[in-house]
Amino acid sequence: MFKDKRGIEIGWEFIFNLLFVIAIILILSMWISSQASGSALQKQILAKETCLLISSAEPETKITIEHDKNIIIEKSGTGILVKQNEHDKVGYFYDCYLKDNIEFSKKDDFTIIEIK
Amino acid sequence: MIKRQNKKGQVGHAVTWIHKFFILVLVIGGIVAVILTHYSQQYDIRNYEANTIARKIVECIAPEGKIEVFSEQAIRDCLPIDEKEIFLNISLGKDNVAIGYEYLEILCQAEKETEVKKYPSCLEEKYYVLEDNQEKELGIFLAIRKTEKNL
Repeated sequence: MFKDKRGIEIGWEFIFNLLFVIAIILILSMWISSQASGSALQKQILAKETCLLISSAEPETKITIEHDKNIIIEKSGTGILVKQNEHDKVGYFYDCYLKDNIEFSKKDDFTIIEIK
Repeated sequence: MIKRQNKKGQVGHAVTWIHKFFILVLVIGGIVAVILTHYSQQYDIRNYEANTIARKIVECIAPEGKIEVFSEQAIRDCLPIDEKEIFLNISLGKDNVAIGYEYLEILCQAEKETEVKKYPSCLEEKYYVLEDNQEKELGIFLAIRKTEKNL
């Protein structure tokens, strides 16, 4: 009877350890794949390129950017915010000295930026 | 006697768990650190940014090469400046306007002599403009920090 109890105890411990290790491996592999897919880098490059495009553009200019359908490029204060999709709450922000004369609009896989 | 031995055993068991946990944290921390350094590469665009800002300011305060108004407010109206991240020093003849974080100018000078790890991007340019039909030198010194997003 005593031996059985110990066995059950060891069994539960093993299951707990296994679940713990599997959870860590799952979280790590998900995180690695998100990093390796380059989504963070893609957002950074999009935000910085858009910033340079806008800051070097003349007034009365319309800039059209073609990108992945889910990507959202928007104005946030004086900077640019790029999100991977609508569920991406944080996104990538880059301050870009934007004034009120700049308007962003999205149409399918295009973002249109109008500088008035 | 048996109970005391069990207590010792329990303590020993707990100690091995601390050891296991420490190794786990070390291994996971190592993997995360390697991936972060490999994939979180930053692209430094501050040089291009400084050039476009300088050009914008010149076009704003001296459209077609003629100075209309030279004042701090006129420069501030040109573009929103984050004073924690930028230092701007514009001189026109004897007049001078400085906006932003002055410490960045010291870092720019230090960078010429020593190696600064988190250095700002520094730009110095001169333009010739007309003020009351007289040619004057417009000097622009610009320093951009933004190290967290570029280095």
